[in-house]
Amino acid sequence: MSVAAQPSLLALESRFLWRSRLALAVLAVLVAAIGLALANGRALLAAQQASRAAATAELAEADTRLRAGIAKGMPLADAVMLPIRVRLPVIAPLPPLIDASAGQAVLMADAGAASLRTRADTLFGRSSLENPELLMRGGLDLGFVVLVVAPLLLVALGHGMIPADRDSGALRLVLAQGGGIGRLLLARSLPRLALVLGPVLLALLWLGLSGPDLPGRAGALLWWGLIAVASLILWWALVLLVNSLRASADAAALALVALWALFTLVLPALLTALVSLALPLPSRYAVIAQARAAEVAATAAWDNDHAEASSDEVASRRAALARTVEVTGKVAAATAPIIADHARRRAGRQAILDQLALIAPPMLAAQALAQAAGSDAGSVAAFQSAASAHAGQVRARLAALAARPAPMGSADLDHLPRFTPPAPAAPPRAALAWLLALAGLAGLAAARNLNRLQPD
Amino acid sequence: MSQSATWGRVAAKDWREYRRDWRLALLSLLVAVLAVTAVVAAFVEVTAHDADRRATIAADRVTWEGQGARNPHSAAHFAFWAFRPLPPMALLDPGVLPYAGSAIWLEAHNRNPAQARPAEDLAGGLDLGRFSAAWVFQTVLPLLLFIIGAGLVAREREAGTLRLMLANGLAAGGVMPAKYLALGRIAAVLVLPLLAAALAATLLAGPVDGLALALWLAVYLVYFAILAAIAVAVSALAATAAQARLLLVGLWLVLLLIVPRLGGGLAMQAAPVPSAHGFAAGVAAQMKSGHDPFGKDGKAFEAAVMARYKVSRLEDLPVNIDGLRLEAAEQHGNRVFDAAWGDLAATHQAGRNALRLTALLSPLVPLQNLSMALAGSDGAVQRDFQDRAEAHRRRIISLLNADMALHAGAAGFDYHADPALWRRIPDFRWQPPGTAAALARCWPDLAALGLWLLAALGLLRLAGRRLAAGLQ
Repeated sequence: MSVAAQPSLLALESRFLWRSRLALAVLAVLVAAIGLALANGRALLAAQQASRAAATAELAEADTRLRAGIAKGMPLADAVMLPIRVRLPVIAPLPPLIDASAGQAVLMADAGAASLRTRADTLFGRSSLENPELLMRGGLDLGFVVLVVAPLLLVALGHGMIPADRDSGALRLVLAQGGGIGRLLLARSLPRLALVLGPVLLALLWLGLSGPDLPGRAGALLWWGLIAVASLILWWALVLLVNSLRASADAAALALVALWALFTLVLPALLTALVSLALPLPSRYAVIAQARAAEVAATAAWDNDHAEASSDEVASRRAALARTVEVTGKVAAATAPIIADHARRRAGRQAILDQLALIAPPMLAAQALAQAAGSDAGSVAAFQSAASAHAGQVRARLAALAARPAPMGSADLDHLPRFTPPAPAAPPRAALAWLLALAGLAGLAAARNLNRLQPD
Repeated sequence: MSQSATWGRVAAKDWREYRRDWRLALLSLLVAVLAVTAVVAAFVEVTAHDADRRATIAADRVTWEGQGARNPHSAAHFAFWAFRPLPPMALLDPGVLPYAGSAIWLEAHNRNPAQARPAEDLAGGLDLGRFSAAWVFQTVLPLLLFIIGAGLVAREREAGTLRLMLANGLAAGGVMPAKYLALGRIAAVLVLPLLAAALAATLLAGPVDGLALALWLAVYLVYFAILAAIAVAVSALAATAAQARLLLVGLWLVLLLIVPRLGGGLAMQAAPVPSAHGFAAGVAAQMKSGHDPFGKDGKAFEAAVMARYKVSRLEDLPVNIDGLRLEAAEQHGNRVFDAAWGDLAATHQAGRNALRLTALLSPLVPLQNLSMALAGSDGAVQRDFQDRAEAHRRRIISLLNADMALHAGAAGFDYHADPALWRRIPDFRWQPPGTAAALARCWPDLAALGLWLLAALGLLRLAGRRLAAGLQ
């Protein structure tokens, strides 16, 4: 067949595909899943924005009240208590593509307030009130579609490209008409890939066009799309590899489904469980017990929780405030090593899991998608670490102001440190390179097998 | 030869073929490794949690009783923590526990949400559900069952051996029961050892309600019966084994992965919960706007107390007015908390009801509800823990306020209670609701699972008729 005839083969195969009930079923499942994922993503994005807005508004209102009180003037006995009334917002940056990959961000507290009494263990005391019965069912986001649904649809579309013709004895004829196995596979691959990749990329485009104008969203969309495409190309390379083996359509389907189950279900669960077993984290209860013991040891009487109510006299209030600073400092110092150890070990565990994910590409892709979206465990940990450090700085500054003879003024409020979120994580370049390398290897192995394939 | 003996021979043949297929054997081995790992991981987690909880409670008690002489209200601010024990059957199905906190700070003036959610500490990766024995039974084993079952009838038809079976005495109408029996036998060999391992670990973890355990096993038996019927029916209806396999994998994807997530997403949108800050701000606003015996309502409160004790001066009261003020403020707070947390519980229940609608689209939804309810790890039991902890908070804060009212006298907030008071404050003890309560709240799930069983058996019968018609 001439080169000029190639488009007609592609057109022919595309027509065959579009006329098949399988393609329609695949398209229906994919479009429905993407529709649900986009709706869920939109709802999650709106909830996250609303939550941050509520926290920001609440703290801004408190700040306005405080400033109005200072401007209006107040007795010295009240003015000395100002450091304890300051609450500065610590708002997590909204992950730029949380509507595509919810990741870890959905479970984490998104806002807190730094104050004289805030410690690392109390900064995010207001945790999500989401119904745990719904959380445990898992989320359906675009990442889930790309990692779980789309590969199975590719398997359904591609498992029999060569084996089905071989099973029916028509392979020799088809190859003779198609002008070679490579061209035939290309003509069969392109419409199938387009059928799955097209809706995913359209969904991404829709997110880009309709989504909010968040910092870093364009870059996140680009990297998320690259990881998604690389992940699906890897699956298609595996489909080609299995097609290149001398297997029946049923055996090919079984092999591909088994591969999918191994890489998507079994290995991620197994690796995560084994790492958790081998590297358990320190108990969260240890922080609670240590904080309570330190707090009780540092206090003796009525001098902590209602420093402002201890007396109407300036000297008493100053003393109560100093005791509050002392108690909070002691508790923070007692719990800091446990919290730091917890964070360090959690980061270490995640790093090992990231390495192990190299043998489970869907797991690697899931982490990379979340990283691109800004909702991965690393981004959450970086925010929590920066927020804890900031709370410590605010506490120290307010303690200094509380110890100062002159009461706080508006200028002091202006000069208090403001929370700066950590820089976004680097794009998942290594994951992209690894996924493409694996796809290349599988593709090369498939090509080598196909060159030796006899159309018997 | 009797029909049942023929069915037995068919089942034995299929079992032999299953054993000879190294691919299926390998997949089964992987699933078994996964299940055993889940059981070991859950056993370590449940036993570690229990040891940790006991140690923390003991340490906390030492801290509490060793706090020395201090004002009761100061102690009320340090107060207690309530720690939720994990039921031994959480080893089988952790349910909502990874997503619900297990520690609640019981302090004066506040009802706090449960903290220390294990999900926050989970290593990040591909989240297809919380790894547990239940997850393996609910999600992974069904896939294996579908893969194995796909070829049972379709492959025989492709190879032309179905007619051979008829020639050997199997009635046309007996093909489907025979194949159902065959898949049941394979499933039993796959599932029973794993279940036995899980049950042994559960019994090692602590005392278990035998009725709950038996019912838990029964609902899984029904679940596997439904899935096996679907697998054999699809195998009979599909044109080829490959088509049956893909159809079943597609069904698995939709029924067991997509629909429960669809239900969760829809329920979250149908019953949206308030943001944590919005909720806290609302409670704070209600607290401020209501009865304030320390502020705007102080004079009226003093007058009412003096009238009650028939005195005309605060100094003549036989009780400390601040202790009474604290208790009155606490009572007002309790009403605010009841309203706010009641609304939240209603929202959660509305979400659960919305989710239940998808029970008609997937047998996994009612199974999950039943499984975690019987394991004592569902949302209702978590709410019970939270409510009991709140009741305990109120009890101990009232005891501390009463001590201040009765003994503080003129010293007021400078009064220091005798350390013996701390020893009189009871520890938090909680007995989760039993199996009867679980069944009472899960009857719609039982009914849905029953409907699924009927529908699956109906599909099996329909497929059998079509197959028999095709063979005759």
